[in-house]
Amino acid sequence: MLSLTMPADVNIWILGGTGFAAGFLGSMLGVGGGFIIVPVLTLALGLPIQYAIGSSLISIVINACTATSVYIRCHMTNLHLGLLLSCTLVPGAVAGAFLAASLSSPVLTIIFGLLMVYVAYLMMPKKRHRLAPEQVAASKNVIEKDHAPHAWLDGCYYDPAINREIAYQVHRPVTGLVTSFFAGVLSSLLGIGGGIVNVPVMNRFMKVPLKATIATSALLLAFTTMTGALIYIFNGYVVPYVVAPLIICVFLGARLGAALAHRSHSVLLMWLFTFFLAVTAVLMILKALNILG
Amino acid sequence: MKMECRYDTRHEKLHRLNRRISLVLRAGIAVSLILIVSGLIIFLMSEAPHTSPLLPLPSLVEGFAALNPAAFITAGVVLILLLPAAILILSLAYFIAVRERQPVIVCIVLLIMLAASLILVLK
Repeated sequence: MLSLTMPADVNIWILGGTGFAAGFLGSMLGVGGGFIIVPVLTLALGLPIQYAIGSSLISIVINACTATSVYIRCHMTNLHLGLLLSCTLVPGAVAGAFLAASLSSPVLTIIFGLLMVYVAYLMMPKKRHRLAPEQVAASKNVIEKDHAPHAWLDGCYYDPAINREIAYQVHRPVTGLVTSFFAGVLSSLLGIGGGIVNVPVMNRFMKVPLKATIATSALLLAFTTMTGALIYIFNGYVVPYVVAPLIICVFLGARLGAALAHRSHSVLLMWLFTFFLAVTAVLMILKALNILG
Repeated sequence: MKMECRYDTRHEKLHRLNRRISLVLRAGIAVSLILIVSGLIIFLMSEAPHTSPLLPLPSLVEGFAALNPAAFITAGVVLILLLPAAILILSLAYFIAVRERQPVIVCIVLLIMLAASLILVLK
């Protein structure tokens, strides 16, 4: 089966460069990086889509684990929140995978693409980005709020870009759980990385600071893509010669991306994420309209 | 690349778990990368076809003995895929030890969800 569909030779340098770019952007923005890997593997290297997705999913797992290893050491990852949201994100992703066969429709993709354009607008940094009042006075809040039912989800980390400790409260956990389920469904249904949905939901709905959102999103990605990657392996859609250089370079890119994200100012990350979201949305709409082929 | 984390005054217990998870992840990734790099080097030095698939787990030992590059890469990939499960098990053990009720429930639910998803998709 493999020799019939796989190209006889694959350029290892293109694979490496793709992996590095995906790892760097993916870990820096809390997204998987599949949006780079899948098109390059299919369009530039001529791999069948199943092999491209299989390789991409494994790359996302290594990307997410590498980013998490960096972020969690600096306490940027909200472990409690990540574990909680994964509880609905994982079944959502599985439900989406089953729905994909019957509901795959260009109209749905266009609607979601337009929604993403709106989310990109929401994610744009306002005139002058400041910390929300609840984050500035957060240390006090966290102590005062210890009796609150979801105080266990609150988090804190040190931000070297502004030389300040940021503590924050997590708002609307139930809304977050419900939205996560749909985020999982959409990510499988539309073949996009979960991070593209998770990051705006956590940042805008749940009021989690962007850096903690990006770090927690990396943890979520590890759980959601693990199952998908296993499916592709069991079906024989993973080729060692393709994944090996990808994994090595994704790791290098992810280390660099996570280190830079930790030191970067949140406003810069917010602009980057907004740009990335808008580009992905436009590409999705163009693809659904068959303009990209 | 080394980062300084200054925040360590509160949530010290949770920070200990964070450091432990980071350590496990870094160790797992390091071992996995060693295996994958070794496999890739053997691949480039040998004339193995570039389209050969990952090996089934029972054949790994034979593959290692025969210096089959696919065996090294398969072992590395499997190790990477076990890392998220390691985070979950480590967290669960920790939260049980410190008797934090909500995170324990969340970890158990997530463990069940992952297992159920796996069973469902493999069917």
